[in-house]
Amino acid sequence: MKLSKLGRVLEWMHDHSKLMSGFMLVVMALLVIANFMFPAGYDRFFWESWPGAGAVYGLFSCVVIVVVSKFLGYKFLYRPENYYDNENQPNALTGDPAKRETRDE
Amino acid sequence: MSEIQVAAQAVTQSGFWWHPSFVLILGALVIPFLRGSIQQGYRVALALVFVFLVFQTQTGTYGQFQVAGLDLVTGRVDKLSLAFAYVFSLITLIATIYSLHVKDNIQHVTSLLYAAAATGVALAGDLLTLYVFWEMMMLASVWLIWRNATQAAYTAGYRYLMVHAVSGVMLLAGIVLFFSDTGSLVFDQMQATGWAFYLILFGILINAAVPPMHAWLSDAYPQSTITGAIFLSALTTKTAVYTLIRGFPGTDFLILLGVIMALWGVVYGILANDIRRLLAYSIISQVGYMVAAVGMGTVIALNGATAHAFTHILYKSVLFMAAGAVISMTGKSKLTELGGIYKYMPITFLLYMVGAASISAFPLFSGFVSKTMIVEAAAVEGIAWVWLLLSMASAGTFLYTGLRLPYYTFLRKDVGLRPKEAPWNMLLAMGIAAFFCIFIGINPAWLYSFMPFPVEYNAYSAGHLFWELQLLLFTGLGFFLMVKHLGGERKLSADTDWVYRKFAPKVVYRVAEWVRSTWRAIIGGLLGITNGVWRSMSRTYGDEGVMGQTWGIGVTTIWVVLFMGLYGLYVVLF
Repeated sequence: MKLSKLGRVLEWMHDHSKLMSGFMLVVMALLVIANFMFPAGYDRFFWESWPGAGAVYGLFSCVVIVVVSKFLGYKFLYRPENYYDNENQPNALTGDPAKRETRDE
Repeated sequence: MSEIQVAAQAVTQSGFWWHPSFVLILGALVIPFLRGSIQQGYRVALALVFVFLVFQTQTGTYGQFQVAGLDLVTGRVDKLSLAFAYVFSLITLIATIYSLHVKDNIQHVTSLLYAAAATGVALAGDLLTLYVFWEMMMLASVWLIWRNATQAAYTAGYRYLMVHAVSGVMLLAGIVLFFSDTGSLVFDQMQATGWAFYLILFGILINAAVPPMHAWLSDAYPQSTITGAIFLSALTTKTAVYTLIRGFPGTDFLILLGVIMALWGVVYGILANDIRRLLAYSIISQVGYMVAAVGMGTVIALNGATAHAFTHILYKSVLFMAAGAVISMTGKSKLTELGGIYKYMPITFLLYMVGAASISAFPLFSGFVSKTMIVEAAAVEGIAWVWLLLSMASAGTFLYTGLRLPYYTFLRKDVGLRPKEAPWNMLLAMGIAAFFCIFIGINPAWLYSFMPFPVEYNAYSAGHLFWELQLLLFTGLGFFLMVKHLGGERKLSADTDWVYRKFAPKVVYRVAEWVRSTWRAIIGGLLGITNGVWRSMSRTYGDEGVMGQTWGIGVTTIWVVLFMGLYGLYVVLF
């Protein structure tokens, strides 16, 4: 299948993902360094004046969210995909009405 | 009296006003009589007329009349109602363009009635008008689910209807109590207390999808039609946010509910496998910010809630439209079945990323100028836990809407899908919405000019930029470190709808079973007693009993002679 020009540009970026992620890491490092040189200018909460606080909290949040979500998922929430299928077969939960009348005879 | 006041009063007294909702309702009813490209042209023209009518509406009070001694105001137009009406009309136009190729008159009519009703709620000046439009919203919107024509859509739509019926009944009961308490139907900040206050509030909170009554949303929206989802994602929850801002600013416990809501959406967004269910949870998460802001109730918070509702409708529509385009072009809707289609649908992919950057609040995109306002409101109030948890939800939003969904839908490994790019009308609709996302991001003054109160907030301060960029980019780092664990799983995550989908039916069935068996036992017992009586009687009078026997003629003669003899003796002796 022929790709559009835009598709080819994106494909090139995708194929050079090492380069892209390297570039992003440099940007992130520069961002934190810049934060050390230019303070944020807020001090309503004590951490707001710390340079790099956002970076630490971002990484921390990400880990907390993933760990907690997956824990809840595996421990309590995950069900098989057909869990609610009985709703689509009208009598799976309550049984076949024809049989129900005779079942406890 | 100043000239402006005189002019406003003249408008009020003239009483004639093109209510945009009524125009849209009347216009929508014509659609089934039109065919083909004439119908398509008419729908776009109607949406444009609607946008025009909304945008040329001036603040004031219109459409007042009396019914049975009740003062009704169909048009109370101030900055708050206008902000919502503006964005409702814009999304009506965008979604109409997105659904231009669809040939289903029921959807065309009901989607416009739905939009008209939502706008009617935003403009309603009294509670009764609000209630009528509220119910109309429910009745119109359910068709956007049912018309997907699957068994799952049918049952989900039915549950959607039931939950909203509860919301409507609570609202109506609250309104009746409110009227009997205060003798007025004016809808403004709630003065009522007790039952009236809480019934109206909880009726609204159901529509705002506040946990635990939020599961109707994540249950029904993924089952809706591709195009109906755009209307659904924009209107119901945001009208609820509008009524909260109007009626319940500063209701403390909404802060807690809002924060729970924002995080609830994040957890389920991380677990979801269906892409539209993931986006449905991100609606819940984002509306959480607005609910928390209403709870704070300060000027900056209420501006933030309004601004976030405005931007949310636009960026969320981009996300739902892109997801809808992927589903309609590939026929797949699950993360586990998608992948590697970015180069075949590059425009859809990039437009999705614009929406994703907006919802994640990247600088220069619309979410940044509205979401940070709500977080800032928490900082101004000095409520650290709200600030930290909303920031965490912000990181989570980027994690599942901005990274997880696009990575597993568009990038990852090629799973052999070769979809075509979405049709032009879908791309155009996404493009318009994406344009607004960027336009608001770089020109927030345009958005701020619609806000209910003057805005003195600067999103682009060094502090916000540093915090937000670091937060998001390092969340991204975390994502790529844990990417293996974040793919879709062929599982379903149970939510509170479990209560009425699994638990309640079981309870009902158990009770029915108990009633049935008890009834049978009673009937059986009664039958036993009757049988006993019958049997003991038949021992004497039955076929085998003494009295049941037939006698020979001789024996009978002897008995007859004996009794006649006794009778003779009686006559003779006495």
